[in-house]
Amino acid sequence: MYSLILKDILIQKKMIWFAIGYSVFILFSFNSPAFADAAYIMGAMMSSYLFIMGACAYEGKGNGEMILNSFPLRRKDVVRSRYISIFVFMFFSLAVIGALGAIMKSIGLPYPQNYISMSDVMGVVASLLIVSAIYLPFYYKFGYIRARVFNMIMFLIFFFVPTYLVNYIKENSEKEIVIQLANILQTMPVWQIVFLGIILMLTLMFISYLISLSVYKKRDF
Amino acid sequence: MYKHRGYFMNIIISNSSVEAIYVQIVHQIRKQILTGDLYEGEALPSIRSLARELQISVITTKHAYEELEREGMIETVRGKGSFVARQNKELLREKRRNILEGKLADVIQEARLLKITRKELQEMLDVLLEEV
Amino acid sequence: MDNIIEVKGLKKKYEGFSLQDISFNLKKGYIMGFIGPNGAGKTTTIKLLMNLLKKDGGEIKIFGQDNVRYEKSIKDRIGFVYDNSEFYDELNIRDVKRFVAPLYSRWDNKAFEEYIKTFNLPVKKKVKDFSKGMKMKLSLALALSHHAELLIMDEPTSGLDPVFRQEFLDIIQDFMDESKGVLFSSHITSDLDKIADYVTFINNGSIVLTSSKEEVMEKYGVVKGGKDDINDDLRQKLIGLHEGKFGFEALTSDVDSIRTRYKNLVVERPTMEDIMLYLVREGKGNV
Repeated sequence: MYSLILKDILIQKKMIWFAIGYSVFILFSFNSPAFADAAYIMGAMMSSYLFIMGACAYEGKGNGEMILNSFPLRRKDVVRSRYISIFVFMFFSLAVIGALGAIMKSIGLPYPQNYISMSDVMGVVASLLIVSAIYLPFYYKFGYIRARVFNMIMFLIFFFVPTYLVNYIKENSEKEIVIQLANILQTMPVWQIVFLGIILMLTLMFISYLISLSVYKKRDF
Repeated sequence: MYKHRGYFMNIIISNSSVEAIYVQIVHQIRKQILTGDLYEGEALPSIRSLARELQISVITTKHAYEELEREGMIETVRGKGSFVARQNKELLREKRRNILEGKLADVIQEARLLKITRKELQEMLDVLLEEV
Repeated sequence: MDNIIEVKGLKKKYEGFSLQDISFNLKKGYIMGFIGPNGAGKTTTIKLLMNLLKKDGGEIKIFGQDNVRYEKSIKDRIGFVYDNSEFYDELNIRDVKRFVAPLYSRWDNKAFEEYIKTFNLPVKKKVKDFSKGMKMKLSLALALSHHAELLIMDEPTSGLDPVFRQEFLDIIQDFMDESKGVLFSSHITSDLDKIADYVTFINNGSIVLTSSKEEVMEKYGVVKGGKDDINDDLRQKLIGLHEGKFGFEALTSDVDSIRTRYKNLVVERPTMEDIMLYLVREGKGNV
C-alpha cells in the first residue's frame, strides 16, 4: 500500500520542481497588501491540487486500473493509499512553500513579507480536505475524466465560498445564531477550536473514504 | 537458459502421417532400442525437453513414454528420469524375430499382389543371399 | 490440489454480450491456450479469473481457493501479463522495481536483475520510450520475478515480431515445470500450436471445445474432397463446411470414422488455425 503512495510520487518527479518554482513565483508576485495574505494559501493549494490531480489522472489512463488490480492488493488498499496520499501531498506542498518563504525572507528579498502562518496552514488543510472528501467518491465512481469537470467546479466554489461566508456572517451579525456561535467560539480556547476543526475534517474524510470504498469495491474493470 | 544434452537418438515426426504422433515416437524409440542404437541404461530426455525439441505437447511425450514403459522398453525413476530398460536378451531376440517375420509377411503379400510365384520368390531370396 | 485453475458454470452478463456457463480446468504442469475470435469472451474470462469483474454466477477456484475470498494471497502467486500497459509509462525500470517489489512477498531481486540484463532493457529510460517488444519484456520480467506459480496472460504476443514471439515462447517454456501452470489467450494460433498442452476454444461467450491438444490433433481433421463426394450422410459429420468451386473442405471431430468410410477423401491433421476457422464458420452458420 505504501508502494502505491511511492508510485504516486515517482510518477510526478517533474512536478516537484514545478511546485518549487511556482511557489517562489507566487510568493514574489503576490506582493500587494490585498493579495499578500493569500500567497501561502494559494501556493500550497495549487501545488497540492496539481499533485493530487496528477496522481488521479495517471491512474485513470489506459489500462492502469487493470494492472493496478492485478497486483496482490485489496481494493481497500488502493483506496486507502489514495486518501493517505492526499495528506502526504498536502503537507509536502505546505512544507515546500513554507520553507521557500522562510529562505526568501531570510536572504533579504522584499517579498514575501511574512512567514507562513498557522491560519494559512489551517486554511489549506481545511479547504483541501473538504474538496478531496467530496471529489474522491466521484472520482472512484465515474473515473478521472468524467469526474474532472465536477472537480473544477468544486475548486472554483472553494475559491469563492470563504469570501461569501465571511460576508454573510458580517451582514447577519445581528442574528441570534451568529451571535451565539461567536460567543461559543470566543470563550473556547484556541486549541479547542483547532482540535474540533481537525476532528471535523478527519470525520469528513473518513466518511468520504467509506463511500469511495463501497463504490470502488463494486466496480467492474 | 537452455540445457542441451546430446542424446544419441533420432526422432522425426511427420505431421502428414496417419499414425498418431505418440505412436510415431514409440515406434522410433522402440526401434532404436531393439537395434541397439540406444543402449541399456541410457538416459532418455525428459518428457518436457523432448516435447520442447519436437515442438509438441508434453502430454504426447508423456503418452509415448507411458506406452514404452508398459511394453517394458523403458523404466522411469521418480526424480531421475527415464532410462532404457534392461532388455532380456532372449526377449530382445524374440521381439526382433517377430519384426523380421512381420517384414517377411509384408514381402509375401506384396509378391502375391504382383502375382510372383513361390519359386520366383525363392530365386530372388537366393540371389540376394549371395550378394548381400 | 491437482488443478491450478478450476472454473465451473461461470456466468457474466453485459449489455449486448454474455458469458454462459464457462467451465474448464487447468492441471499443474501444463499450458492452456485460450483461442477464439475477437469479442468471443477470452478477455472477459481472464478478467473474471483476476477478479477485475464480478461474476454473475458460477465458481472460480485458483490454487484450490475461491478467487474472491483469497484474492490477495492468490495474486501474490500469479504473474499477470497484459498487453498494452501504459501504467509504467512515466517511470523508469528502477522506479518500477521500487514500488512493485514490496507488493510481493516472494520478490526475487536477483532474478529481476537477471531478466533485465538478459532482455537488454535500459534501466534509466522512461518506459514510454520503450518499443512494444521492450514493454512486453518488462511485463514478463515483473511477472517472473516473484516466484509465481501461475502465469495468466491476455494476448501477450500480439504486435510482436516473429523473432521475439519465439523468444517469448521459449521463456514461457523455461518457466514451466511440474508445479506451475500457464493460461494465455491468443488469436495467434501458431503460438498455441507450438506450446499449448490444452486448448479451450471460446466463441460467442460459450466454450465450444476444451481438450488436450493431442486429442484435438488426433480426433479432429481437415477433410477435403471433390464436389461429388458430398452427401447428406457425410454432411452430418462435417463442421464448418465450405463448398467451393473445385471441391469442399471441412473439419470433422471423428477422423477414424471418416477415414474408414470415405477412403477417397483427404484427411489431414489440423492446426489450431484450422480448428478456429472451421469452428467459427460453423458457429456463424448456426446462428
